[in-house]
Amino acid sequence: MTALVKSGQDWSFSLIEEVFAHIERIAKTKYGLTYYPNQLEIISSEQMLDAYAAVGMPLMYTHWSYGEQFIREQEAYKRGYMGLAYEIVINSDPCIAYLMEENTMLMQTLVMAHASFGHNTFFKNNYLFKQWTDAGSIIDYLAFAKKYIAECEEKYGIDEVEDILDAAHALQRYGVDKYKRPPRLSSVQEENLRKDREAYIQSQLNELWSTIPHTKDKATKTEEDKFPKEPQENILYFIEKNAPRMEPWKREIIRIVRKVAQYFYPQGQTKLMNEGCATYFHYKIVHDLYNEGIIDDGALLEFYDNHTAVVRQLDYDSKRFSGINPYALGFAMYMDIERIAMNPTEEDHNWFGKQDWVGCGDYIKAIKFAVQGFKDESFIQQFLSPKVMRDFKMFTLHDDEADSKYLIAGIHNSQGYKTIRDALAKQYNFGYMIPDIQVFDVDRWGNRTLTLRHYMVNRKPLEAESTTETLKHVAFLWGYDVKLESVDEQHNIRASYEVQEDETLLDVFLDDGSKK
Amino acid sequence: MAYVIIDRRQNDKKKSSTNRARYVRRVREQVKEAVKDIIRDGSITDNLSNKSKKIRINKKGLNQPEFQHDVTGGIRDRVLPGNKKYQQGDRIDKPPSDEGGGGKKGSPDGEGEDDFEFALSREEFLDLFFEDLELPDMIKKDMVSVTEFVMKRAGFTTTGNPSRLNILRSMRQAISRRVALQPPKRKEIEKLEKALAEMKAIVPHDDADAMNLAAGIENLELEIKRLKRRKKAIPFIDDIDLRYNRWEKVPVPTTQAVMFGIMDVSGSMGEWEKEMAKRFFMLMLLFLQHNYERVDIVWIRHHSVPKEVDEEEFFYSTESGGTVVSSALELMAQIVKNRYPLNQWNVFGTQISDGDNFSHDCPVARDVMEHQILPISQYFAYVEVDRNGNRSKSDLWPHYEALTNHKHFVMSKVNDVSDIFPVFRALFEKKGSTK
Repeated sequence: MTALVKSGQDWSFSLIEEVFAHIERIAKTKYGLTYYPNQLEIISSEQMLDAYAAVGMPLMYTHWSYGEQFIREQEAYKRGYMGLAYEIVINSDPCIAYLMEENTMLMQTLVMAHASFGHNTFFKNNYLFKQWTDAGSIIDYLAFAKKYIAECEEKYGIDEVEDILDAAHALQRYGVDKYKRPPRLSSVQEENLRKDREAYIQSQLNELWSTIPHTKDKATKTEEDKFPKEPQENILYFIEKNAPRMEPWKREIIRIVRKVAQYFYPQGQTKLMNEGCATYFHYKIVHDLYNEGIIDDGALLEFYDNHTAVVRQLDYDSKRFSGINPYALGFAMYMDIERIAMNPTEEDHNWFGKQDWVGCGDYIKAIKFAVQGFKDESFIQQFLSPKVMRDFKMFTLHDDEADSKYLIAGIHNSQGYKTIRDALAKQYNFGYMIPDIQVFDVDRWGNRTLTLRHYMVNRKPLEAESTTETLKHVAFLWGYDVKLESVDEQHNIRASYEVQEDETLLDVFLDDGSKK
Repeated sequence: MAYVIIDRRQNDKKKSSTNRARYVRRVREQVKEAVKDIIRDGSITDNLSNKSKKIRINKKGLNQPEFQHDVTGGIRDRVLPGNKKYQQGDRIDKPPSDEGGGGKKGSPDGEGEDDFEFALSREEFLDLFFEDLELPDMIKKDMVSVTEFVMKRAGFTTTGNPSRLNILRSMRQAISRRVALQPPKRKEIEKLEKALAEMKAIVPHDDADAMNLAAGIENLELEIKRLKRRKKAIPFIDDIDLRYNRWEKVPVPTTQAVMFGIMDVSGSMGEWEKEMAKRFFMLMLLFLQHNYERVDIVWIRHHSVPKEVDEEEFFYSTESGGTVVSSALELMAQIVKNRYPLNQWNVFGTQISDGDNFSHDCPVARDVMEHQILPISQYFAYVEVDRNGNRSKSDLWPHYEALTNHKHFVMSKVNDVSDIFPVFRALFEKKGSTK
């Protein structure tokens, strides 16, 4: 048979259909992948830029920050600083993948294998996605959100809505339930429930704030009066439900920001695994296509050209180094899993011990096991082998504020493997990277001050400027004074920030007693 | 598993334009300042070109803050790739503290993190620049030459080209027609057919019964036939339902204006004076181009003899002599008469001079201005450049001053580069309720 895909060849609809059928056949019969139904959308480069700016979603509410993002991308693209992504894929049911008009047929093949099967199977099977996002209803929900926010703008003015969105965006990383699963809802249900919610919240609030002077004064405040009883990690949720005086529509907007943040939460925690999985499968499938003669030698070279650029890892001392490339490390780890499943070395046996998948002879099963049950942090703990660390020449840099020098805590040798693995896993741990800040207390009987607590890890302090700026947003939402305390592991308050509701007065007290 | 390919290339490409407009709105004040700078510093050709204009915005105060760790504090471990020489236990120097421990990522293009540059389109640029400026209200905007037509939607018709079929309207017509005619429902027919089948299945007891049954069957069959015929006669969609979009050819008036730039090139006008003149002309031109679809420019330079020249010669050619202002004004009147019929053109004049004139010509100039120029002009601006600002009166000033009660005539003095824009604004500022 003559090859369908040749180097530099233009795509056509019939060709895409034909190649897609081949890819699907391979994905199903050879790898036994399960995935959402696919929807391929052909778009122009302009539309790709549009798609970038709206956090990749096909529809999104209006906000200036997306405009800024768009202008930034557009300028970078125009000046040639940045190539466009080859693809965007959306975790929805059906799974939408964008194919860019300018791509060659080989690139379209690569994108289909990467997005429509690699990412798609990850979305469908990874436990975090299964647990946290509802691929079936996200588009519906965004339609509701866009319409609702547009209506609010009409009713209350663009500025009012913008203020709320700005403030809620500042807290979006604290608008996520990390342990509870959100319920699934369609947009119609959503609209109906919204109305109930409005009425309900108002009644609850009246209850909470019905502070007909309690006879107790501050001194006799008991543990029972403490509110909230336990620290709350979902700050946005707390504010949405408990802010003393906030119009219902504002609560609804906070809720929208929360929901969108929740939807993206698993993506942030599985970036490495997800990109690795997609890259692994496009690599495998393109080779299968080549072996079957569906793509020719030239096209395979074109593929290598793109693939190697994608999985390139720059060294730490390179000028353009910007961290570990998730495509590179992810791809290397899945390839490594395949190797260990098929031909484990002595070292692998020692390192991984008695795990089922090591040397099991069925690499597809091992890969699927990895895809399903982990997030980046645990994925590294479980699967990062000494070989990959060696290939990447990894080392751990220990930075202690109290020490005038950096310490190389471990390098890619037998004494260092464990250090590197643990440090790298932590690097992918959200709880470790993002400051742990929770709602600690509300002065219910006094001036309604909201107190947040930052639980310090490894003595890492907050950056003062962004903290006070963010606190201003919190105070704006809460409507009363807001306080934030950094507490170390021994429960000593190390730093404290206060913002008055009118945003004009601001005091920062640091633990050395100085006033900034 | 099913899959779909959708060609979205024809869809809206301007999905981000609302967000973009929101951003420009948010940084409006900064953008306005930047626009003024560009006008002030840019060359004429740059400012007049259709190229988009680069705007640099300082992002401070526009950031979206988030709670963040201080990158220098506490203890942290980082895993990095590409080790070349380090061994476990090595101790290496930290970079100087002002670099934030290397934690702050420099952007690849070397731009500061707070600075942000983007391009405004020409329209956005001019809109911002000429915000709250307007042409004086005596402009004959209605005097236009009709040269172009556009097609505009104008309701619906019952006849037309299939490509203009309005499906929504047609279906709406079809529904109302069907509702009005009440075609038999399919369910109704099915019910009758079922009854018929049941009736046919009945075994009659005797002859009378059989006759009744046969009659019943015949009735039913007739009824079903009638209903079916009726149903068939009332089509789902009929020719009379069809509605087409109607388009009408509407003339688009094109407004046009001619601007006369008149400059004195006598010996008393130095480089500095010419530079001022150039800037003022540029603003005037931009403003007219913003308001009119078509703008012609006529450059007239004069000393004792006026001459129509091109832009290059106007600004750069060196020539000098005495000064006779009236001759230039006469030339302008002549050109208008020959080339710019007043029923088609709005005429604007801008004269820039240091005010020197042969004293015997001053009353003549005033006379020409009053009787020949002002009657044909929409607006005439006289700008006197006076570098030192210490000369109380030029030769020409008092003579022109007498004309200021003419509402087509304005005059002003420029002492410094920084005056140009305020003077220009003052001349065209929106005036309360002139309309």
